[in-house]
Amino acid sequence: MTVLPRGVGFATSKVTYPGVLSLRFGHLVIRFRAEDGETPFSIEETHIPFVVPDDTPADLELSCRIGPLQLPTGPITFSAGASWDLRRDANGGEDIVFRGGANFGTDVWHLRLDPSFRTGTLTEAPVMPDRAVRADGYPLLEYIVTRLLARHDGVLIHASTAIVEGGAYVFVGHSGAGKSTMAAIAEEAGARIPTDDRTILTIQDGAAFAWGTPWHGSLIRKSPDGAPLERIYFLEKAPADRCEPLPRARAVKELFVRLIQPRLHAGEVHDTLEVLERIVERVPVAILYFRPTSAAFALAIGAKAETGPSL
Amino acid sequence: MISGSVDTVEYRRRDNYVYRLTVGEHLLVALHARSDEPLYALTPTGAQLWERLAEWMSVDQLADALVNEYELPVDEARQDVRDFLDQLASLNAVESRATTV
Repeated sequence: MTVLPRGVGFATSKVTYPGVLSLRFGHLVIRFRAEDGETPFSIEETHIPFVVPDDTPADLELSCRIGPLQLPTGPITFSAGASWDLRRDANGGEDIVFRGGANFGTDVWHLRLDPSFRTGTLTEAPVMPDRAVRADGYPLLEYIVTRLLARHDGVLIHASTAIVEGGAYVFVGHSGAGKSTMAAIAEEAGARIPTDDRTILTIQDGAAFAWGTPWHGSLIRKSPDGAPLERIYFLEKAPADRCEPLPRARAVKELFVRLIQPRLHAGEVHDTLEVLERIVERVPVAILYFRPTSAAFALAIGAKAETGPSL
Repeated sequence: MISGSVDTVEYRRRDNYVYRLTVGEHLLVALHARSDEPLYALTPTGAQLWERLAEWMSVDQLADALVNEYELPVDEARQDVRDFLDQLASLNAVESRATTV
């Protein structure tokens, strides 16, 4: 049993990579490359499974350095409260300043994304003791991935995922809905659990896939594993187990409001909705009313043959 | 004769919402994650008005469109337009200006 009770932390240590680090999330690869060729990158050990060889073609290449931040000027396009600000220039390039420390009082990262979103720069202020760029810094990395997914046929959603016989069953819900509970039950039943909190959904070559992520949740073994998407369930605790198929239009709306998507760019919103439309065309979506028992999971993976695609 | 002018109010949608017809539903999505509600559904009539609000439009111009499309009584069409504009204004989805004609 590798699932800890919700809210129980676990100790991890940092790992460093000199000069270059490539990470894969879903079908996307992000490469962090030191401007001087030497500056190391650090990640928590939970991210190690997401490291890929540095000759893997990258969707985003970031040239990185540690040094004083040269903060952008100009009007703020969007401010996420104290934690980060976005400025977008006339040609579509973006500057994002992320803050950390007590009351988010310290400017920590300046991320510059070129208009293509294929290249950019990342500067980390010299505020960390070990002089290593935090490639997995929060919310820096999750922000980058959500923005890239929105431009590459993918979404990040509040969901756990169970892989059974090569197929992915995704359990969607906000905090407290039972994602980790269902993940624990599924793992006991022999499923692989690449994530118990945040799942990447993608459309590739006309097929839908689900992928693990390293973020949040209470699972120690986070995994980049992916599999063809079999079904999506919205979790609802109930006194008895049953499935209720969702019409496609409602499924899109229910999925959309559970995305981790900053909705910063009109084109990205259109593309995100299109991805959801394509997913619900291909994959049945239902509400799973459940009690936290193995019977509910059995219903979820067995229901595939009993109910057809959503209407 | 005293020369005079008549003030009228025109409306135009803001660019802080994205409209998309999704699986037969007219969705309006609020840009920026801090919006309290990210998603709204428009009626087909509302979607038609939203499309017209790409340009500055008066209540009468919008009402005329409904009268022509749905053969509504003009007073009813004006009221529908005003109600719709009030809802958009409450979402900060529309801007207005006074013009002199």
